[in-house]
This record gives sequence, structure tokens and C-alpha cells, in this order.
Amino acid sequence: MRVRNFRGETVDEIGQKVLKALRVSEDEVDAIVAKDDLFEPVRAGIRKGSTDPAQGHYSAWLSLSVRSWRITAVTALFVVGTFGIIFTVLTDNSRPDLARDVDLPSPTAVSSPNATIDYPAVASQPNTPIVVEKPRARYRSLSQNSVISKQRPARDVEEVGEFQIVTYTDLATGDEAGQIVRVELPRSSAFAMGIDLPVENQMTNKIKADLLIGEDGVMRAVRIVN
Amino acid sequence: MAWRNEILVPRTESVGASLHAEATDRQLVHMTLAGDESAFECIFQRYKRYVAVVASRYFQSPQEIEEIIQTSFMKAYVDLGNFRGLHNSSLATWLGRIAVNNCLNILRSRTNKLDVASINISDSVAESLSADLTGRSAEELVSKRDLLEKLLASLSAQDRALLQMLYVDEMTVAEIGEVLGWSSAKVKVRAFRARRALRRVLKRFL
Repeated sequence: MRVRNFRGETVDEIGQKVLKALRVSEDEVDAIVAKDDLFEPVRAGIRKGSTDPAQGHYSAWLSLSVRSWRITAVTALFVVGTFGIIFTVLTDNSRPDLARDVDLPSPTAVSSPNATIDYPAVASQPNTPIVVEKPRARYRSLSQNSVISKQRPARDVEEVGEFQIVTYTDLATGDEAGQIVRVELPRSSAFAMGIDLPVENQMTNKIKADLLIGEDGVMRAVRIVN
Repeated sequence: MAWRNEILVPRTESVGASLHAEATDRQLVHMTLAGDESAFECIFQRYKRYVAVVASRYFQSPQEIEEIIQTSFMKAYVDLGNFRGLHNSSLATWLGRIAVNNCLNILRSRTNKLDVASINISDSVAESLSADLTGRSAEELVSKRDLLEKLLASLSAQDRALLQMLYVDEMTVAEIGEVLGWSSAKVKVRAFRARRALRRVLKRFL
């Protein structure tokens, strides 16, 4: 707070003086409110807008400002977008890593570790492309009605190798059911399981593989997917 | 509440409004809600001056004050069903808050349209203004209103209204809090900041 030299007024006192000078005087206020037609625009506005003040909420809702409409529009777009993403995720049936129920064929030869299991359907034609069934969509009705699902090809063709038994598993139970699970493995893990991989200088260290999982949750065999 | 009683004294009253002159605020509200338009006119006549005083803290032009009075009463009519009477606040306080919000909404919409060039004050004018500010009384400074308006243009309308209530109307912190719908602590903090902003503005010319 600075004190003036010759009159001793502080800045605050000068500020008060300025505010008092700018104040609308009582006479000016009286002149404004003394107008006879001051209520007429109010009366006209009331009659035009709403005749019943009890319905004020409805009128107020109708007279939403442009800003409120913008907020409403953005909110509506957000909600529609969110539902769109959820719908797309639910109807997306192109995920190859989903587990599928399969019946394990009984292996014909399990005599030695690292032996190739003789699966009639797979191993009889080891290097020919086979058709991998896509997992069923969780919501059939959504999937059938989806434009996205209609545009996608129904089946993917992949080239897979033979199932190779892993060394430490017990294949005594031949007729058990199991699951094939599509995973990505580090090449080092594949070597550790005894899978003979071709020596290739690839950029990625991971390979796709199908794991044959028994009913007890233990992996029985593995095959490499090209 | 002496300041409010002085403000609320009606100077003029129409014939329609005088029919309900004896009715209380609560009775007038009930009659308005029942569809009696003259009852609302009576409310208007009773509180138009109070709303005008509230508006004059934010706007100085008579046309703008007139507009604030009319739009505030129109909003009050539409929202009259929400008025909860003496249990919550008096009709004057309720109308005052509507007027304050109305003023702030208008000022907010004008913020982007502020002409910065109009705030500039030349050096020669600033020198004479400095001499006037220190050497003249408030009554003598009234003739320099336009210049003083430019001087305080950078002060926010909310700060200016708050300082006017404190310095000019000499209202207490509690009374200001009631009008603005703020707590006492908030009023004190905002008043401190507003004083600091006013000092900053004035020091440029002193």
C-alpha cells in the first residue's frame, strides 16, 4: 500500500473514491424504475413464453441455450461412439487365439520322447493347408445382423505342421477330450520343449503355435503354425 | 438489513399493483402461481428498485440496467414455482441472486468482445488523471466517469461489484455473502484479491 506525499491518501482510499464516482446514483436508479412502461416487456415476455409459472421447468427446458445444446450433442456423440465400440468388440469373431473344443484323436505311437504323434486327420497330410474353423461368435443374433461380420471372409487358410508330443507328458489316457489353444511362443521356449525349428534369421523372436491341452490342463503336444 | 430497507421503499406504484399492496410476499407468490398476473406486477413494483440497485453494481448504462430488471423478472416468473419462501430465503434475496446471475451471464458473453484498444490511455491523459485522482473528491470525479471507466476496464466486473458493495454500499461480509450466495470466507478471500487487483490498476497511474 503506497502513501501519497502531499495528501496522505492511500491507494485503497483513491480506489474507494473512484468507485464512488462511478456509482450509479440513487436519482439515476429512481429515474430508471420510474418509467411507466417498464413492466410491459415483462408482461409481453410472460404471455409469449409461458402463461403458467407452475410449468416453469418445461419452459426453461425448451429455452436451452446454444451452449447447452452443444454439450448435449457432444454427450450424445460420445454415448453413440461408446456403444459402437462395444458392439464392434462383441461381434468381432476374427480372433484366432480363442480356445476351441476339439476331440483329441488317440495317438497311435507314443513310444519315445519327441516322437511325432500320429493324428490321422492332420499328420497324414503334413504339409498341406488345412482349414481352421473360426470360433463361434458369442452372440449369434448380433453376429448375423452385423454388417462387419458379413463383409469378412468366413474362413482363414493357414499352413500348419504336425503335432509333436512334449517330452514330459503322460499320454496313457488316449480317449480324453482337450483343447487347442493358439499362442505365440518365444523361439527359445519352442527349442526348450524339444521342437525342431528351422534355423532362420527372422526379425521376430516369437512364433505362432497350437498347444494341445488335455482335460487336466497339462499340455500334451504342440505344432508350429506358419 | 438497513441498506435493503432503504432500497425497497417503492417510489412509484401502478393501479394494478396497488390492489395487492397489503399482501405479503408469500401471498403474492401464491396468487401468481394461481394465475393472478396483477400479483406478479405487485412483486415487480415492490422489488424493481432493489433489482435495479443490484444491476447498477455491474452495469452503469440505464438501458442495460433496464434490460437486467426486465429479464430478471421474466426468469423469476418462469422459476417462481421453485421459490421456497421464508424457509430458505426471502423473495428479495432470491430476486437479487437471479439478477446477479443474469448480470454475470451477460458479462461472460461479452468477455470475448472486449475492445482492448479502448482501454489504452495516452500519457498526457494519464498525467491529468493522476492529478485528479489525488486532488479531487469523489463528487468532483463524477464528471470524469468515462475516463474512470477506462481506468477500471481491466478490473473484472465481479471484483468491481464486490468492492462497490464493500466500499460504496458499506455492506457487511455476511450481507454480501447473502446477495452473492457465497460463504463469508469466500467473500473475504475474493475481497482481498479484488483490492489487490484494484491497487495494481491504480498504481499504473499514481
